[in-house]
Amino acid sequence: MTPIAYAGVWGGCGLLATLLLPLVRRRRLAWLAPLVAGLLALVVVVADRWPGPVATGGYGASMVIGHPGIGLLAGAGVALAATFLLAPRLDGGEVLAACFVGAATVVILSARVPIIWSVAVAAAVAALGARWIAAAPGRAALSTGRVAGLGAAALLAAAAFLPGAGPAVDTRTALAGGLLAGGICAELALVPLGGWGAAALGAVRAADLAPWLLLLAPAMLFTTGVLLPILPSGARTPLQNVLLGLGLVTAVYSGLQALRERTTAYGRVVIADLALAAAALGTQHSPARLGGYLLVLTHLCAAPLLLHPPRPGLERQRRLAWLGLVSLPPLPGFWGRFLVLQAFFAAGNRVSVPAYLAVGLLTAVAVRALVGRQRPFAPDATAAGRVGEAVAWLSVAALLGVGLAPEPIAHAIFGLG
Amino acid sequence: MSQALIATIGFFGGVVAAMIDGRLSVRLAAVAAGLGLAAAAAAVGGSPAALVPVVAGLAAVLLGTAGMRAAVALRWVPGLDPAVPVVAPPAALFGPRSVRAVGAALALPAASWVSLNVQVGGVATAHGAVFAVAYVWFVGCLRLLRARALDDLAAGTAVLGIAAATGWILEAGPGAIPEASAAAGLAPVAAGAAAWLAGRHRRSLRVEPEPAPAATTGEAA
Repeated sequence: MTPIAYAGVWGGCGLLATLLLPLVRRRRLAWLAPLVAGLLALVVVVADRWPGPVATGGYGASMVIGHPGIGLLAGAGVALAATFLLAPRLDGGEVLAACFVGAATVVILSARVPIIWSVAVAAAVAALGARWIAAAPGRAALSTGRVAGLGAAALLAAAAFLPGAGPAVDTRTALAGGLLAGGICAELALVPLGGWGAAALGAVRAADLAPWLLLLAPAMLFTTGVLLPILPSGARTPLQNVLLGLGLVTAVYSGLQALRERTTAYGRVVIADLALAAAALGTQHSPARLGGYLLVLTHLCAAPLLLHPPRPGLERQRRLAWLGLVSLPPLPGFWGRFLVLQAFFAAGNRVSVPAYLAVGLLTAVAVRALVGRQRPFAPDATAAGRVGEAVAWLSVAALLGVGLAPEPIAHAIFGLG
Repeated sequence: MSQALIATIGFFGGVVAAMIDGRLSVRLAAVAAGLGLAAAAAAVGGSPAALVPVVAGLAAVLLGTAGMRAAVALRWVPGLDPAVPVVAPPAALFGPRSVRAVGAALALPAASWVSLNVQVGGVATAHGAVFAVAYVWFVGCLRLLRARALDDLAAGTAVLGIAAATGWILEAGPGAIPEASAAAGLAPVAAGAAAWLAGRHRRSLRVEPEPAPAATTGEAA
């Protein structure tokens, strides 16, 4: 199957689930759509060499996807399905937005031309913004449309400047680098453009947050990792420096906020880990990419459990999931952060000190959730049921499995060792 | 066509896209942006390239109208009204339209700077075309930044899609029409989605009118 057909599969699954499930009064089966779409990633044609969204030599709408992209789509499909299964309630609109974002993510990961890449980002952000405004109208959802939309607009503008950007720092190349940096920071919710993401953590339900945290933001991270080495130095340097600086600030800030605010602690931890991975990409040292992949994989396993508010019947599974996020070997939270720290260490003391601080804060958040008092249940919280408990145990097993065998699992999913 | 004329047409298209409000705002903003940028696209890619923004604007009108009619005709589904502000705006001396007018005025020197300092594509003399695209792009950003309702976000998306498509044609030349069409496709999709939501909401408002209360004399019986 070609990537464009696969994008159609994501969209088709979402449409079918949205139209058919309410007719047969089975909205709870919405998890089937991302699961089927995710598993069909296994039949997509994968290229050994992932060119990324900068084809300066010639133009063409052909799409090529690499092993990491396919691994992300398969893993995110399964993680989204688990998130929907564990959701206390669904209104039916989540699956359409999630599958639309999934379709756009396929294009983001397989685009070879910058304009197609940025259009796909804009489409995904538009779908998320519309869904969040519909589901939770308020300032948080509106700011998603405003700030993340402006980020997508910056990427659209950068696309026009990228092909002609050269090694010399002229106005055009600097604009390309600056616009790329602004756009990527906005989509990854890095400080100071990340207020929308933090606000959404408290305002939007987990099933609506998941497409951003599990699909769009990791896809931006992955394509940034492909884009950085092939950018001309005049555009690469500003992007690299901005990612490094703002990523570290975001990781420390989100770690502090996660310690302060318990209800949104896990969402803050995901943002901090993505920011750490983005900052590590800015160092341009080799362990950064694999570290980013492992961090994303860890959260694909943990997010279905921890994004939701606590429910009766899932207490032990949640504690074990938090255990997996402690930065100690052989726990999965350790490996990704360890590789990322190696990249910072290679870059020097000035950047490794704040990175150590951020990892320390994230570990403190996980330890507090592990040994501290459990958050009280919401008054309307319902028990998870046997299927929910089984899915939660599966998530925990997958999470701890990643910790026990990170290299073979990363190799199998992302095609890397 | 002279570059000054291309810039002027783009400027007027951008001003209309910035100021338009109301139920038809997304569709009209897309048409204004498309017509305003057609000359800029034609300057580099000829008539086929000029068709990209124009067709995107017209497709936005068609898809918007079709989406509205389909939503009204289908069975009732509750939904949000894309024209209603998401949050109550604070009382202020200047309303959102005034702020957009100021923003559109400020976009003028910004777009001029871009057109004079940044070369897009191989044609170094296409300053007017670059100005037109940059101005409409700034207007799209302005609409996003000052958005209060889903309609404003959709209008911003539509305008940005058309501006990006034209910018890509300027950069890559007439051979890039397929990719430019994909970018311009954001406009009809945004217009269709906004009109669909508006139609759904309009349908939900179609309830039987309540009978008028009987006239009273104002005195207790």
